[in-house]
Amino acid sequence: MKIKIFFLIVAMFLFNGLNNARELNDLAIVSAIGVDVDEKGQYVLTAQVLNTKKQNSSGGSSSSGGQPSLITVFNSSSSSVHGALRDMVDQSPKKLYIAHMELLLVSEKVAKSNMFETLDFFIRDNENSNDFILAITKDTSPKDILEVLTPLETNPTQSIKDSIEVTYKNKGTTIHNILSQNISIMLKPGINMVSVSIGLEGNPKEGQSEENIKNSNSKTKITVKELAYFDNRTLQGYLNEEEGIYYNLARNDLESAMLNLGTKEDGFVAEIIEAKCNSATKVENEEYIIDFDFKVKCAITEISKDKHVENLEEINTMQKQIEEKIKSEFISFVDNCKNKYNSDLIGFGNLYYKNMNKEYEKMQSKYGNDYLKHINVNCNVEVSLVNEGSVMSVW
Amino acid sequence: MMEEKNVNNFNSAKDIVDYIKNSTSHSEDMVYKEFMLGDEIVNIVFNESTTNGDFIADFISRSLKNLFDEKINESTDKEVGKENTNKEEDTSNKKRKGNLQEKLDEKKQFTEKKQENSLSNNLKNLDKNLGASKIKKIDIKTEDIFYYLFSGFTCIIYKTDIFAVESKASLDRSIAEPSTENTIKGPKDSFIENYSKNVGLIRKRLKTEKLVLEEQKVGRRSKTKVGIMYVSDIVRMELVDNVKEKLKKIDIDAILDSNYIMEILEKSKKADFPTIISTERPDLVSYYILQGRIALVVENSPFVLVIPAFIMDFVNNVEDTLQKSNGTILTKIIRYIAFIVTIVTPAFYVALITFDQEAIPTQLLVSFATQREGVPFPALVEAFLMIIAFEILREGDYRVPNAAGSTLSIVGALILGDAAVNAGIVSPIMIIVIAITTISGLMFSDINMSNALRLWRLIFLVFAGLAGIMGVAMAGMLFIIKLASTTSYSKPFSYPISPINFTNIKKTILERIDFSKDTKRRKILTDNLTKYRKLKE
Amino acid sequence: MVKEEINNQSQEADNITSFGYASFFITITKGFFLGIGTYMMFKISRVDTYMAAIMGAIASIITIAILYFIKTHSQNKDIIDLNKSLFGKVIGTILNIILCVTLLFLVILVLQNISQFVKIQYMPDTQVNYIRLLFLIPITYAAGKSIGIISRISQLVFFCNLAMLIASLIGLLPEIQINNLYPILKDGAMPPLSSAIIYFVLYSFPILLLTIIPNTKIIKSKHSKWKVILVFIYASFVLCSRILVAILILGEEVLSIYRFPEYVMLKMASLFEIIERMENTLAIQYLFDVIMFCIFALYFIVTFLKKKIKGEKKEKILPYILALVIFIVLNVMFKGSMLGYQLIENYIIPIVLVGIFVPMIITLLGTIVKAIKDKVMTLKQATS
Repeated sequence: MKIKIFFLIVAMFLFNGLNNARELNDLAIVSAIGVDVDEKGQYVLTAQVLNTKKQNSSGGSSSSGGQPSLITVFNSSSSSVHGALRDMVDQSPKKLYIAHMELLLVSEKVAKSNMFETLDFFIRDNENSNDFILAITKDTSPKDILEVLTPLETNPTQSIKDSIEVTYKNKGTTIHNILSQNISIMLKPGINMVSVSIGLEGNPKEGQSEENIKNSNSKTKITVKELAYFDNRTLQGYLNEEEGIYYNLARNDLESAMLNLGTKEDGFVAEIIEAKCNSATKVENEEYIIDFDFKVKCAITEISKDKHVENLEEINTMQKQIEEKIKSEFISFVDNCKNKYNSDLIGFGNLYYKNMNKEYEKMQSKYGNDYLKHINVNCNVEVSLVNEGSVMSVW
Repeated sequence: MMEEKNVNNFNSAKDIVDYIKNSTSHSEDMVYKEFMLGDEIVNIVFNESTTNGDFIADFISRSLKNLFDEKINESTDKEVGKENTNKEEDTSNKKRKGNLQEKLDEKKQFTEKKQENSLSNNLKNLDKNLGASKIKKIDIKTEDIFYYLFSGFTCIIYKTDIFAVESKASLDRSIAEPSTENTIKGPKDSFIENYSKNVGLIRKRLKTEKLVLEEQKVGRRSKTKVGIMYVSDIVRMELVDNVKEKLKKIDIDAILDSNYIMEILEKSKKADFPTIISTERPDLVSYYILQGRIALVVENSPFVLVIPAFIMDFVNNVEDTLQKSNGTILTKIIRYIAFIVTIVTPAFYVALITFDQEAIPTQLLVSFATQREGVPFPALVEAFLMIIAFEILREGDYRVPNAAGSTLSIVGALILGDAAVNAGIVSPIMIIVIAITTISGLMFSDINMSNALRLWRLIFLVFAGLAGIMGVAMAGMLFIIKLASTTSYSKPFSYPISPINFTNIKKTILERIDFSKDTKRRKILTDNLTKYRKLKE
Repeated sequence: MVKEEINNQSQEADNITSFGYASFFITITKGFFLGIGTYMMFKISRVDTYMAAIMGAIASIITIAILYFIKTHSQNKDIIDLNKSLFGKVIGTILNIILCVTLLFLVILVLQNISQFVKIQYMPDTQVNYIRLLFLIPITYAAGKSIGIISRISQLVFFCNLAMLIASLIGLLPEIQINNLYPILKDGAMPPLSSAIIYFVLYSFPILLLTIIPNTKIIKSKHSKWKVILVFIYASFVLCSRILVAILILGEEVLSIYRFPEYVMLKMASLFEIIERMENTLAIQYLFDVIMFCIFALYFIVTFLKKKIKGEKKEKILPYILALVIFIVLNVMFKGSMLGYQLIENYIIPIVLVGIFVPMIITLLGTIVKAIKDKVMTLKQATS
């Protein structure tokens, strides 16, 4: 049996099958890619590559001369996305390896034209698993963002990704979508996509060097901005920052958020701990009505003077205040969707498509793509205060 | 084929002695002695290096002389008694004949005759008269006197009658701890190179009359005794007949160790895995015999063979029956994980590094890439080098004598550890992978099993270097096919797993049923299914 | 002497236990799962495919009934001898040849599909022949062995697949979204029914191949019928769960854009949130299914050819000659990859129906007729 194995292995070598074996040293591990379009209509690609060069173990400390940076950035331009990626090998000694890519930055120009045709390369490639985050760069270009070094984390892509996640979990104003979820939302009927956006503060040129992170207050920072919304697969604009909370609430995705209530003198701050959302679709007399039912649990974190927490009436009034605020903000967000943004972000049409398929087809045939204006939304909020903090009375 | 002897030409003891001298070409360690008992001459021949000289001096010489003296006294007493009664009548008649000399002469003749008759008779039936524990009369025409001479028997030759008396020297070490299969608890005696002591160690554990021992002699020049032991009402007789037939057909110069018999019986070229167990522990052998297997005890070998064998016998350890069953469940799970780890880990690592880098988490990938910077070899060659280096280290560990042992292994470990990494020949992660592999392989005590696992490790590595994860899958399929097609004496090798038998899976693989509830034997080995173990309440 | 020993030694190892016979029902039937069966089913009935899977599983009881009936009236012969004895030499040989040629063709299709899958997803730069050769190594090694060894292989593969299935289910269950099941029955009830027919034809025809094992080789034990039923329920559960989880995770729209959705579904699996991207390792269960089907099909053909050709040396080379034939046909027929899909989609169901179901039903009718004839004769003898 061993002779047969040996013979077959020799035969396999004849077929020259080791084309796919690649050494780790030959790979340039890409952690983020930015796509942009210049005036001539060519794609400009920026790739941020992790630096795997071996550090000298007997090297000096950081005070005597600089350490090499932990990322390097390549730029190239071509008429197609894949061509631009291949052109980068002119500058880089290793072939680019995009299977571990974690972030895809798209400039506004590209998003306003035909975004998903440019992304076809990333979806079709076999090495990807479509688990990277898609982000729009607001008021800057991807090239500037990708060249900035960040404090607190050595890998800037990881820093961006973590800051998106931390914002999502603690502030609730952004979403945590990976590309596969974006694709499935884009392909579904009756819903439009929403995406994260990132911006830059300060001077991009200064951010490229080590000086940026040596000081305690770095001049150039990368921040997470508001959500960007789409209609018909093209970028239309940006939401307000607060509206992100209600978008997440309606999609049952809210982890925690913070609400400022009341005026400065007798206001308080409530933190949402848990939120659940149930929706039901109804058709009554040729009117399309959707009922939203929110169940929210809150905690009080900061009170200005003149509030006594141990009274039951106080608690009830606070609950009522929170309920009203949520309800009014949500209804205003829905009105904004209908009138200002003119796109179905929360997915009313999709709810009809899934639950009442025949009604959806009737609606399509009657109104076409304008059905959003004819849907009415009712909202019912239930708030319960579960935690008032450790201080019982005002001091 | 017996060579032609002039066996019909032996007329006296001297001829036999000359024949022995000529056949052994006057070897210096053969001793020839002559005893004189009265007028009889008795020749004693023995081999000095295999016999116990004290025994011969003490027992044989003295008992021969005692025999001589006893018989004289007895017979003279008897005859004297008779003569006295007869002679009394005569003397009453011939009282004052005064022929004292005549009377003495008569007496002497009479007694001498009686002496001669009785002594030669006794010497001719020496095997019934001598009080040794083992004495046998040999017929030189049909039996092989040299077998007895070199097995430690003393040959007493009296007028073309040969008697062999056992007087073995003890050329063995004493019963000590097993050298390869150590346990923490439980009996710690092991087999040695003495055949009857080995059989005794098994007999004293199973004191049933159904434990049968059959013997055969194998090997033309070595004439080694091979004993077959089994319990006659549990085992299947066809298995015993099969083994006996095979042993009869062996025609070989010498059997120097039980491994020779193991190779002949199992046709080992086709099988990678060992299909016969060879063990050093008598408690393990008695455990196996009670299940319905056969034990082969080979002379001059401290390893006893057990037929048939299954894969769980090599993976499981005897300690599972010697410790609490709750604790051994975790040990067994760790051992099965070690079995898989020791075969697959280098191949898996090389496949991930070379072909499927996307399966590694990003942080780990960056650190791997940093470590591999500057290493000149591709990952596959590096893995081969490290495996060869570790195997050399391990093999050297066995051979090095105790005095130089610790220094050399420290040097080896240092070389492989720090220095190679710092010189930039290997990357540190490869050393960790190969070290984990080798340490997991130490769990399996049988050396044949370790060799088989090492071979499969290399096959997996080659396939992983060719095709990545898919190559590992194909090599895994080949491993499964090979495992399924090994049979051990026409019983499937991977017994509780592949012809699936759920009760036995529970027993051998998962947990051990308490001793008080284990009332059934395995159906594949025996027909006598019930054990007498139920506690009477 | 040597021959007798080999025969004696292999005789006892040649028998199959009842669980070994039952394990064939799981490991052989999934050869067409990846890429052919599910691709056609998802195209026709998109979100309701799980209903089609359940209906198809219930319909597969027909094939088990056919198999059981042929076996009880087969007079302890395998199907090749049975065809010869029922229908005479000429027609029997024609039936056997139809079976074997269809099987060879199906093996070629399955190998082409799986090597395309591996080339696209794992190693896009290598030549296809390399991958085909890699697959043919274990198949030819095992196809020449006796049925006892193949049953033991199938039991070991059953354990491996069980472990991988549990690992993938544990990794995938947190990602399920139940509202991907809606809308239910959007296009009516016809698409699930036609998908059910595809399921029934493609996944249950290998059960009929089990008639190659004569009854003498199976060791009888109690509850052997219950074992077969339980194992068949487990096999249907595996298939239905794979389809159901694929639908629940990916959703309706994404299912239709991918070529191998059940492989893409594995990309979302993550164990303990540390081990991710395990799809290459977990997809080994698909590879093992295909290899087991090919081993059994080749064993069928080799048994048929062994009865024609005598001679011990020639018998050993038979699997290698078959492998060479398969390799050459693959190279000649499928130069580009796209041709395979058209061929598979349009023609596979008629091929399987005509090539395998029809000869088996003819054999079934023959056994029924013979059983009736025997009964009539015994009645006549009893009365006369």
